[in-house]
Amino acid sequence: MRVLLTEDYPPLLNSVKECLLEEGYIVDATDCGEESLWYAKNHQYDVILLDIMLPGLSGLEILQKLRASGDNVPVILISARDSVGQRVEGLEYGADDYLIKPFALEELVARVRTQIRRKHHVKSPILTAGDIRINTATKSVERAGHPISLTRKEYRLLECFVFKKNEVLSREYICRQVYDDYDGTNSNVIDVYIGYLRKKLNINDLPNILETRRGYGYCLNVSL
Amino acid sequence: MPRPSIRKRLILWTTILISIVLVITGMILYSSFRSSLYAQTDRFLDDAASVVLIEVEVKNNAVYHEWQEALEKNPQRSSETFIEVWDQRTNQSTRSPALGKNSIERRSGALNERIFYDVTLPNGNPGRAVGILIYPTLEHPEDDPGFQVQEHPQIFVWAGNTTHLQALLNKTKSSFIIGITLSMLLLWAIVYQVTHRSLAPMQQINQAMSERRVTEIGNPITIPDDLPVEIVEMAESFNTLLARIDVSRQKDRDFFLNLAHELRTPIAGILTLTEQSLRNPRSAEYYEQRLQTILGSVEDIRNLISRLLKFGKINRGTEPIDFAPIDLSALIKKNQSSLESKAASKALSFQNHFPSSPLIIKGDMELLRVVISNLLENATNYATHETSIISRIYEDHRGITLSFENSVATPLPEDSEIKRFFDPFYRQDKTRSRQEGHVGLGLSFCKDIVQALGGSIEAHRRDSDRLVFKVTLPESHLFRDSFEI
Repeated sequence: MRVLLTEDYPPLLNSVKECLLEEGYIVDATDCGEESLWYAKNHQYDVILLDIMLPGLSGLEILQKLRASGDNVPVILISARDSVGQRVEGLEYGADDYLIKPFALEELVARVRTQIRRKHHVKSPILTAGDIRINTATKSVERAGHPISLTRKEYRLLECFVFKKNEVLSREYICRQVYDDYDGTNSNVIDVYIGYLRKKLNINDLPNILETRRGYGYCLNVSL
Repeated sequence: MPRPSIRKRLILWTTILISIVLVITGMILYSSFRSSLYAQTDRFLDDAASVVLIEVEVKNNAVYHEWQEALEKNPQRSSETFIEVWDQRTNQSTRSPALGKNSIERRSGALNERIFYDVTLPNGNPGRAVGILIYPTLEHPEDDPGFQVQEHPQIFVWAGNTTHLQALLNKTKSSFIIGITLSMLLLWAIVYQVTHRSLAPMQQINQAMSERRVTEIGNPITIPDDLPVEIVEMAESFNTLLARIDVSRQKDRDFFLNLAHELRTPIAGILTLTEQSLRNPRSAEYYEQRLQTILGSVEDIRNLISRLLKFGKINRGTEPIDFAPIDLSALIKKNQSSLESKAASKALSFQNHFPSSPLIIKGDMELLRVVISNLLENATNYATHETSIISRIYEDHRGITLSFENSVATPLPEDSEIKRFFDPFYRQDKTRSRQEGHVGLGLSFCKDIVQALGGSIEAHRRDSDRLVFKVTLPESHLFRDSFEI
C-alpha cells in the first residue's frame, strides 16, 4: 500500500513517515505543495496525507486540483485548524477525512487503514480471500486456520493480492506497491518474493492459489 | 452628585416654559376682557352722563340742577343713580338722593374731558365713575343776561354700581386660574408621556445592549423602522462602534487561532516523535537522535513563545523604550554584513543610497535592529537570484525614511493584500516556508515596534516584480546638531 505524506514541519514529517514505514506502507514524503501535487499526479496512491498550510501550493489547493482532474484517491487532511468551519471547508473541498494536530500516531494509522479499506470496499479490518485471512490491524496472516509468518515485503505483497483478489497484477504494479523507490529496473526481483510467498502459503500441502499468468503477471485465484 | 436626567430636564423645563406662556397668555386675555368690560361700562357712563350733564342749567342767574327733578319723579332710578356736581366757584356740591350725605371721589380733566375711575359707593359696593369739567348749560341767554358760564365751572361726577361687573371679572379670573392650572397639569402629563415615549426606544436599545452576550457583541443592533431620527443617528454610531470592536475582536480571534496553529504543529511533532520512539525497542543512538529532534521542536516552541511575549509587551506598551543616538547607515551596514553569506549563496548584492553625512536619530537601538534585521532578512530570503537589495535613507516632509527594495520571483499580490503582510501570523504560502523559521510574526512585530517609536511602516509594489518596505520615523527623532557616537 502506497501513501503520499505532505507536511512542512520536518520533525512531524519524519516521525509520521517512519511510523507508516514501520506499519508496512510504502511512503513518499515531501514538505512542498508543488512537489506533492507532482507525486499525486504521477503515482498511484492508496491514501494521501495532506497538511493544509504548505509552502508553494496549500493542501486545499492540491486537493482541489486532484479532484478537478478526476482523481478520487482517499485524502486525509492534517491541520491545526480545528474550528468546525475549517473542518467543513476541508471536507467540502473533497477530503475523505480530517485529522487535527496534535494527533496520536495510532489514530493516524487507524484512519489510514480505514481509508484503504474503504477504497477497496472492505469494511472490516479482517481481509479474506478464500481460506486466507489477514488482520490488517495486527498484520497477522492465516491460511485455513494456520498462522503464517511473513516478512514486511511478503506481507505487503499478500495484502496487495488480497485487495485485488482474482485480478491479474502486472510485475510493475506489484513493484510499485512493494518497493519504496521503484525505478522500473528490478521488476524481475519480484519473482523471488512471489516464490517466497507462494511457499509460505502452500502450508500443509494446501493448493497453490498464487498463480503465474505468463506474459501478464500474477493472480491470487480464490475462485477455485 | 446625581447625574442629570434628560427626562427630568425635558419635563421640568418644558412645563416651566409652557406654564409661563400660559400664565402670561391668561393674564393678557383677562386684562383684555377686563378692559373690554370697563370700556363698555365707561361708554354707558359717558352716554348717561352726556344726557344728564346738560341738565345742569342756568336759571335766574344761578346754576340749576334740573336732573334732580327727573330723579324725584322716578324713585327707583333715584335710588340707583349716584350723581354729585361740584360748583368750582363755591366748592359746594349737589348730590343725588342715593348718595345721601356721602360724597364721591372727585376727579376731572380739561373742559368736557371724561375721566373714568373706580370708586367705592356709599353702600360699600364697588363702582365706576366719570368725572367731567363742564360749564352749566345756558339755554336762554336772553333770560339771564350777563351770566358768564365760564365763571361757574362745575365738576360733574356720575357713578354706577359695578358689583355685577366685578363679580363677572372675579368669576372670569377664577376660570382663568382653574383653566391655566388644569392646562398645566394636562400639559405636564402630555410632556411626561411624550418624553417617556420619545425616550423609550433609547431605553429599549440600552436594554438590548445590556442583555447582549459577549459572543453577540459584534452583531449590529436592529434599528426599528419607527425609531426617531435623533436616536437612529445614535444607534448607527453605536453600530459603527460595534463594527470596530468586532474587527478588533476578529483580529484577536485570528491571532489566537493562528497562535494555536503555530503551537500545535511543533507539539504534534513532539508527540509523534515520542510515540514513534516508544512504539518499538530502539537503539541508544536512535533515542539520542530522536531526543535531539524533540529538543529542536521544543526550541521552536520556546522561540515562538519568546517572540509572542515580546510581541505582547510591545502591543501593551509595557516594553520600555530606551531612546539613544543611532547612526542609521551604520546599523543597516552592520545587519547587511551578518547576511553576507546568505546573500552570497544567492549571488545577491547590497546597494546603499545613504546621505553623504550620517543621519543620527534618537531611537531604541535594540528595537530598530530587530526591524532592520527583519526587513533585510526578508529581502534576502525572497529576492530573486543575482539581483540587488537596495537600501535607502532619506529625509523628506514626512520625516526620516528607511526603505528596503528587492525583486521577487513569484508574482506579487495587490497592494491591499500586501498590507496584510503586517497582520500577525500572516503567511503568503507561495513565498514563505515554515522550514525557514517563518511563522508570520516578524513584520507584525516590526509594525508594533515602529509604531511604538512613533513612526509608520508600509509596503508596496514597484513595477510588477519589486517589493519595497518603508519605515518612516518622525522628524523630531533626528539630531540636527552634529553628534559624536
